[in-house]
Amino acid sequence: MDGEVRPLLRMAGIAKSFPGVRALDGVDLEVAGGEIHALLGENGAGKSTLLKILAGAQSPDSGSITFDGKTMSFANPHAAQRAGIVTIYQEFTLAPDMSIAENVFIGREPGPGPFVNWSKLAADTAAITRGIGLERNPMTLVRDLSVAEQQLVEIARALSMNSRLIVMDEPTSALSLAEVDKLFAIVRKLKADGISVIFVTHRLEEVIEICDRYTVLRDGRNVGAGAVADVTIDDIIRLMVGREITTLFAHREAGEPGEVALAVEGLTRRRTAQDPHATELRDVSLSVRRGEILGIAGLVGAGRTETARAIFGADPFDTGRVLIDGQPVDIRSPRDAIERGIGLVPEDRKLQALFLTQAIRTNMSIAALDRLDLFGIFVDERKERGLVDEFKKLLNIRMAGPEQAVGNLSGGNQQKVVLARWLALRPKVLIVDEPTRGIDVGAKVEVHNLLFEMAKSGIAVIAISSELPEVLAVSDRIVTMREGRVTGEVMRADATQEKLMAMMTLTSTAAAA
Amino acid sequence: MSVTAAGAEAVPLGKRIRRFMSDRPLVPLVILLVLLVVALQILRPGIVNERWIANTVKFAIPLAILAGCQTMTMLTGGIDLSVSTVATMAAFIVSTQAVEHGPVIGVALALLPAVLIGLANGIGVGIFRVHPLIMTLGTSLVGIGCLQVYQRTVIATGTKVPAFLSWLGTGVTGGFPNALLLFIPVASLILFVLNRTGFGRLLYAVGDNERAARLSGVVYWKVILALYVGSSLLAGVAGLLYVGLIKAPSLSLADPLLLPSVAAAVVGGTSIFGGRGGYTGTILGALILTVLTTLLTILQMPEGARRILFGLIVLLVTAAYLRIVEDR
Ligand SMILES: Nc1ncnc2c1ncn2[C@@H]1O[C@H](COP(=O)(O)OP(=O)(O)OP(=O)(O)O)[C@@H](O)[C@H]1O
Ligand SMILES: [Mg+2]
Repeated sequence: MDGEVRPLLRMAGIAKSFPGVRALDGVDLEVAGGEIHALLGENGAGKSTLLKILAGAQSPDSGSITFDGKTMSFANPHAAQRAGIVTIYQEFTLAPDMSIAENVFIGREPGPGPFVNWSKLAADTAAITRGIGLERNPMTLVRDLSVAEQQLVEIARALSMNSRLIVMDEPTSALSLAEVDKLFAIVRKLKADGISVIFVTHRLEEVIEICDRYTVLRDGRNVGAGAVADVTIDDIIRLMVGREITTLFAHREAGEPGEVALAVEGLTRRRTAQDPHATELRDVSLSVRRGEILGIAGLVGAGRTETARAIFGADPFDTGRVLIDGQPVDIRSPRDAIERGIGLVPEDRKLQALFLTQAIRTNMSIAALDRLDLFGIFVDERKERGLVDEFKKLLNIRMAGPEQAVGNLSGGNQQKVVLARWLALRPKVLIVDEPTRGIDVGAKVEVHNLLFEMAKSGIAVIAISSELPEVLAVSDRIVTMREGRVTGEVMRADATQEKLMAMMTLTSTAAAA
Repeated sequence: MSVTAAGAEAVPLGKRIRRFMSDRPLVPLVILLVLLVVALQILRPGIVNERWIANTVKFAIPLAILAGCQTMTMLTGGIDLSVSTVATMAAFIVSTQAVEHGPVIGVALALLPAVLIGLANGIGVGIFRVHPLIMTLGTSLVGIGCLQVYQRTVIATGTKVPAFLSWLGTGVTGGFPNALLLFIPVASLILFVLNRTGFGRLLYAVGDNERAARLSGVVYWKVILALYVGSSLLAGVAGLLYVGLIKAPSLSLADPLLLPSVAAAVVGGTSIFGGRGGYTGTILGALILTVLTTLLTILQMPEGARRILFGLIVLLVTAAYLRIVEDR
């Protein structure tokens, strides 16, 4: 409908290759003024690379960028920002130990000369943040903010620069449903103000909900573009994957679960002076059987991650006990947990799981090093490569080779490497915290199938996810949590999204299904 | 897809060279080393001969071993500023004890403080989480203090560098410095540990992302303790070799090697932030710094100017190296 309008942004024939990978192979992207444009594609399709080129963070091998009718070539992010293009990356770029205000106006603080006019800085910041619903003192340190709030700070920074185009690379992957709604309200407001937004997501319902037009990439090439109103989610998936996927969120027939593999009784963790922001755990009890997948649902701050970390020995707890195969065990460190057969895929792969500058090979094998030992001293690299090969095929990891640095993989493929690390251990109990964060639709199904297979082979799986459809799809039994307490438990057959929602927002443990 | 690909063949030459270098980060170091040697030969024709090479290698070896300590600690994001003290202590003790108790006991006594300081560093950094810079600086000062006290007690006996150390430090056999007999096994060991063992992997992992390392089951304090004890022992060995080379034990014997040991590792491409680097680059770095020192000496500049130039060149090389190797 707005096809004849001169586009605000036109990227044409963009090519970029890295050693061993052709990330972009002549890609075009057009975004009109005041439009919300979805950039879609599988993991590794080249979305982030294209956006980094647009932001001036990487230089293209060839191709041209026209912005507002002028041909541009951005030598660095600063140049792009001056032109009015601001990017919010998949991984945030805020300074955690500086205040909201300093982060918003970093490098552009108001003031006489080299001095900072703090009151003006605070007032200017507040004027922007209030407009996007961030009700915080501008002097609050960024490290004390939730992920969603940090994202708002990034948006505030973009607004403070009078940008005409805001690029958001997977802004919703770390947000809860309520937070996503809030973000969308802001994005709609931006649109109403005539600001264009490029939006990357793997949650395709979001595209239908908020985007006007879309562009789909596959293997670094354009495979489709058009108005969102003319397509369905299935059409988009077909474009992304290049084949039909019918097994979306397939259920599995649960087998007969075995003995209780892991039980937690009365786990309690109080806030301490050292860690005043920690979520408290109050008398958490749960258990999971061999061959069973236990889902844990809850809102952000419900204590799901904290429970997982306490079981895994990553955080201490005050009272309560953990039993494996009915025997109480004393787990004081992740090492202890691993030795007893527990694995944990943490929620934040960049901060808690990956060694970004190291090879894929090392990243996959680190927890299993003692199994790859030759004579107890040196690592058997042949076995190690075998491991990489096995999981590359199993998880369909898109990579140049086992020596590639993990930091050079696309976000979704990084997640697969983390999963592979723990799968390689063949644990008794595997806890996965947001296992498919940032993973594309096709790969999501693969990860789910993998969880099913693990359960089938007798592993007890605990799956934590903020996406209710995912919890419903993978779990045999679901436990809900709220504010550090278990608020209920249902079998999958009896569970619906509405019911889970109600249980997640319950205030007492009184009701259970 | 109206405007289609201008293929990868169109990648500009400069970028291709950079890409080549970033895949083989040692190449620019070798080029630099050769350039320095060529410059030396031009400034002083005929200086580069077999004897000069043997001499350069002799002086580069103790530096390269100490730089090995820095490489390993820097991989974990740490640094070991006690290496020069440890080396000096080992050198001084062996020169006062070996005469009386023989070489074996002399060496054992000499390496004892190395182990103690290494343990202290490891416990401080690994368990009490003291910053490595402060921790190793502290133990270094304590060590020097102890050495001064020790010096008073042996002032009567005097010092004598054991013959086997002089042979190892200065001797040349068939054109090859004897020090290589020590260095080749030591260097192979370091390379082997870093590249092939699980311990080496853990050093890189801890330096790259400590939280992730813990969550992958790495027991942080054990790795750090082993690292600092190992680093200290190596420093002790370097001290023994160095006293054989200099032949004049003093309380500040190895001090001039401390900052160059850090510089050699950095020039060789090891990141002080951890997770990146390797020992081969460090060896090249040590050679580069040694040749650079000779070059500056030959220019017959006053000491001050020489130091200024040395510092500037190290900065320049490191900055240029990062530019070349990092492909945008
Ligand atoms: N710095 C780099 N060095 C080498 N290869 C890279 C680098 N950056 C990206 N790549 C490769 O380029 C391809 C495209 O990556 P990109 O990050 O653009 O994917 P993406 O579409 O954003 O995927 P995701 O949805 O998983 O975030 C991938 O194969 C990736 O491995
Ligand atoms: Mg991406």
